[in-house]
Formats: sequence, structure tokens, C-alpha cells
Amino acid sequence: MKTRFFLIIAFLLPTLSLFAEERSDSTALNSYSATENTLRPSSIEIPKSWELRGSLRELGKVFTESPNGVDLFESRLKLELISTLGKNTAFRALGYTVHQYPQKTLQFNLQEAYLDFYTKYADFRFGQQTNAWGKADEINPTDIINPQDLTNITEDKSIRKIGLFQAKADLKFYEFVLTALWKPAFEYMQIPKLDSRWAFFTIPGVTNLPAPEYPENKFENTEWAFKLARTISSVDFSVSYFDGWDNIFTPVITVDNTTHQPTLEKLETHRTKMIGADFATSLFSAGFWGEGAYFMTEDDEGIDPLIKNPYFQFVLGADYQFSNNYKINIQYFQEVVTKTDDDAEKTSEEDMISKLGIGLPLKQALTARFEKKFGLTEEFKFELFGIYDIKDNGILLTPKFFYSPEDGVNIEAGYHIFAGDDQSFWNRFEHNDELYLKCTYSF
Amino acid sequence: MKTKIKIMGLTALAILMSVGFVVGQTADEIMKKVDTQTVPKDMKSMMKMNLIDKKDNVRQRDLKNYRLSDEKMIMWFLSPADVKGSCFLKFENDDKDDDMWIYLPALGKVRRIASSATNGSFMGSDFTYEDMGDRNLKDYTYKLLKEETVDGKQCWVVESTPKSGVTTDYSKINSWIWKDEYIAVKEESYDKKGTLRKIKTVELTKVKNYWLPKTITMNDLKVSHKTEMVNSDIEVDTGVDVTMFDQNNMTRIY
Repeated sequence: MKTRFFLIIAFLLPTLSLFAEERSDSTALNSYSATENTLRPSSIEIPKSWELRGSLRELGKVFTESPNGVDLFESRLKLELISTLGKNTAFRALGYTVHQYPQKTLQFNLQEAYLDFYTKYADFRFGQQTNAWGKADEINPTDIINPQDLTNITEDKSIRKIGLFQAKADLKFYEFVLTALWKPAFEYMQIPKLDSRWAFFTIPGVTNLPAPEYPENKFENTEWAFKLARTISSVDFSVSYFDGWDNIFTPVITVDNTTHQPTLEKLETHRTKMIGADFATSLFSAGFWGEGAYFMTEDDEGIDPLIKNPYFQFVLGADYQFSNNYKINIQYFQEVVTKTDDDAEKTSEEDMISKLGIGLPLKQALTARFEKKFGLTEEFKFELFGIYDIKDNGILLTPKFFYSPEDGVNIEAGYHIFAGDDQSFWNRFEHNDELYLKCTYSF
Repeated sequence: MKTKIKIMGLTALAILMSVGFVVGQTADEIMKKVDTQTVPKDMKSMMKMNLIDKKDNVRQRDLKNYRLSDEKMIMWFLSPADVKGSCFLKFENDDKDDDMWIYLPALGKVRRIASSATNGSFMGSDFTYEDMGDRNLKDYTYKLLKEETVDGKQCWVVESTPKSGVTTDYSKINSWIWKDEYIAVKEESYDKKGTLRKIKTVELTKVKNYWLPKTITMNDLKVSHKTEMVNSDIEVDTGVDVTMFDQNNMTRIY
């Protein structure tokens, strides 16, 4: 079945050239290459239709509470190879080479490598890729196409996203855009090890998690997603649908009747469907947006204690820029678990590990970002960012300072502060307050 | 003798009529002609922004700019390296706030920009997003101040004052309108306290039958900093496809 599907796609793709049209002025755009700009250092010598971009980032993070002050020193080289292979096709590959201390690891991660094909009525993307869905900022219930690497919870989201092989089509008709996405490769979200000081949770008697089980490699176990988007009267909106696997595993734990000792049997995933919607607009000069997703789990009746009940997540947000470059951004998030009989069951269901959606185990939260740019060319920026766990009274607060001494050079210094009541997620990292410094050179 | 008197009378009448024609133009009429000035159906150009401080240190921004009449604009950022690949899209509306979106490769998606952001600086330059676009004619009241010559061009000086409820950083803007072509060649913008804050000068170039800005210089007097926006490779009426100005197009690889 799978082979037949690939053969059909392979046959259809060339015929789409019948609908191809020249991208508007793409050759003129490509003719302006960095080497023509004599005021800047020349790029690496490669054929004209190819371009190599990237950045080098040095990151250092130290805990401000003892013991063991060093959390991480990291050198991250990002390389991005882009080519317009013709007027209607393009290629992009993006990878990172990362060296970390004290882990003393050197890794190469190919995050994306895909081909694009553009026609008058549709764009196609085929290969390893990341996709970002949802109009909200940072916490997106509908952004579940790619799992995230949460081993470094404070890392940029663009780096946290795990690239996976996908086939995507954006079909344009009237003023709608229909996105159809097929994802044959399933991958779990990566979370910190149980014995790490960044562990999300503990399981009594368990220090190492076994390898999680993967769905059988069959066509019916692949994942699908659709999104229909349009702008009407200055409102951008979309509706989406996902049919796939929960990318946070569910631990199956049994308890011995005699010794009452829990045993972790295995880690597994469950099939989940999602219906989502979002919108963004501007009113009274402020930006407003909303995003919501209803997750239909396998336990649609709410009777299986090992599988999370169907649940709903939503975000509402707004931002406003004041004069003199002050900007504020506020969001409210909530999760509502359905089909619960009482508060005890509700609490139990809310605490279940499965958290497809925003990825973090938060039930009700407020995020706020305050930003002020200054300097003759806005080379300085101060930002205060916070995620407040309303339900369990916990907070992650990060003041940051940015400085760009030269074009393409960015320095960021900040302080991650974790605090909260015992039951809050952020309280887990109460002793992990850390200062960090990032220096990035882009080329 | 009678013929001479007739000729002199007709000449005097003609002079009076022409003077009367100029005197008869109000500030509103002048600005309406500026607003309805014939513009290219479409335009594309390379844009270089030089950000110059008082020590003549220069930071440069490079953009590729497309315009569809005076309705839509899309810009790709070509440099510096940390913003390359970003894209800005704007739909200019007469009856409501403009629609603006930004695509940042690091975000991986297109994000709508609130209209309050028009007061913010464009790429760290002395231009705000508001400065980059056209003002809505009906959002301002106008007053003809005087006539003056700028770079050999005879100009009307018109004061524009925003009406209540209009989102802008300026309390008033004085524009020097070139009489021959009804184009602004200089502007002085005053902050909310009434202090002269910015001076914008425009050097024009003629492309086909259109007078278009070649170099726009914005001088921020408060911080002694200026930005030169230089347009080159200007092409007009080449049939730029309307689908260029589309959110989906912002994420394509160029």
C-alpha cells in the first residue's frame, strides 16, 4: 500500500509542471547575491544559484545555586544551504553541529532537508522539515506536527523542533489556502532523563526510562493533518485537523498486590485526533489572537484510567506597542479535561503525562513579555519574559538583555528564575536558577 | 486705440485668472492632488538603507521591494545576515488600519503585526513603519502655510495635523509640495510636544513618466542620526503578478 502510494506521488509530481508558472521575478531576486555587495565580506565561493548561510553561537549557562555551577557550555554551528534549482523549484538543508561541555559530546543534527516545488495553484514541500502552526506566541496547542526536544527547556523553539520527513501541499483556491500534510515518520518528544536536575517528573523506584514503544511500521499508522486558512476583513483565521500519535509517551505502571511496589512496564503512545482553530487581527491598534485545540484521545468515554480523557486547550493573547519602543505581550492559557466525574478524577486526568498540545505540563497559565528597544539603531533591547502557572502558583521569570555591536552579531545575557509552590511544575527547578550568555555571529 | 485697450484688458484678465487659479487652490485641494497623483501600476526596486550616526559610522540594510500601485507592498530582507530571508507584507487601506505581516525564518510562520507597531522603527532605521507608507488623506486637516523654493523647485508648504483618534507619533507634519508635479520633496515632522523631530528630504528620479523617489533621507534631530534610503534598479509597470503580495509567498525560498 505504501509503495503504491509513493509510486502515485512520483508519477503525479512531474505532471504538475503543467500548472507551473514563473515565480514573480525570482531570477531578478536571485541575481542580487551577497558577493555584489562590496561593503560586506564575501561569502564562501559556491555556484551562483546556491547560497550558504549560517551562524555560530556560543552559549554558557551557570547555576547560581550550588553545587556544580556549570550547567552547559555549548558551541553550535548552524549551516543552511539554499538553492533555487530553477524558477519553480528550490532546495533547503539546515543542520547543526553541536559541541557540549560538560557532556563532552559532539553531535550533528540535520534538522531539515527538503525540496520545494511551486505552481500557480499549489506549493509542494517534500522531505525532512519542521512546520509551525498556530497564531499564538510560544505556546501553541495546534502546533503538534513536529515534536520538540525539551531536554533544554529554555532553548529557542526553532532549535527545539525535531525535523521529520513529511510531504506537504498548500493548495490555493479562491482566497483560501488548504494545507495537506502527510507524516510517515513518528517520533516522540524528547524529555530530560529522570536522574537529571531538569527531569519533568519522577516515577518511584525508576531511575532510567526504557526505550518507548513505537507504532508498527504500517501505512495506517502514519499521521495526517489538514489546515484551511483565509483572511477576511483583516482577520486571519484557520481551522485544522490532525490524526496521529501522542508524541509524549504514556507510562504503563503496574503495582504488585503484595509488595505494593510499582513497576514501570513500558512506555507507549496512543492515537489522538485534534480539531483546532485560530485567529489573529488588529483592533484599536492592538494585536489580538486566539488558538484552541480539542484532543480526541482513545479514551473517548473517559473510562480508561491509563489513557487521558479528551481535553481542550486554548490560548488568548494581545500585544501593543507604545511610543518610544515599549511593547507588551500577554497571553492566557488553559486546559480543560472533559468527561470527568468529580474533582479527584479531574485532578488525576490533568496530571497525566500525556500533554499533546503545548508540550509543557501546565493547566492554567499566564505569559507576559515586556520589551523595550533603545539605541540609535535599536542595537539594545531589554526584555522581561514570564510564564506564571496560575493553577499551582509557580513561575519562570527571565529578564534578558540584548546587544548588537555589529550587524550580524548578537549578544544576549539573561537569568532564568524558577519559583513556586511544591506542586507547581516550575518548583521542580527551584534550585536551577541560572545565568546565561549567548553570543551569535550570523553569516 | 480701442484694439490696444481690448488687448491689454484681455491680457490683464488672463493674468488675473491665472493668479486667481493659484490663489484659489486650498491646502485640501493641493493634498488631494498629491494623494491622487498617478502612480505606477506596479514597481520593483532594490533598496539600500544606510544608517549613519554622528560619527559617520554606517550600518547597512538591503531589501528587495515590490509595490502594487499604492495598495500593496512586499519586501524581502537581504542583509544583514541575521535578518536575511525575513519578509514584510503590507496592504494599505483607506477606511481602516493597514494590514501588516512579518515572516521571520526563526519563527517559521507568518505573524500579523498590530497597527500600533507603525510607530516602531523599521529595521532600526530612523524611518518608522508609518514613515514608510502613505498617510490617509481623510485622517488629517490641512493648512497652507507659505510658498518656498527647495533645490530649485517651487513648493507649497502645507501643514498636516492628525485628527483625533488617528494613531501617529507626530503632532503635525509640514510638507513641501513641488508645484509642478504635486509631489512632496521635503517634510518636517513634529513630536507630540510640538518640537521638530525629523526632517525628510526626497531626491526624485524620472522612470518612464513617473517621478519616483531615488533617495530619501530621514534626519532624526533628537538623536543626531540619519538614514538614507536609496532605491536602485527601479522598474515600473512590468506586470508584477498580484499573487506576489500574498502571505503564502512570504515563506517561499528566494
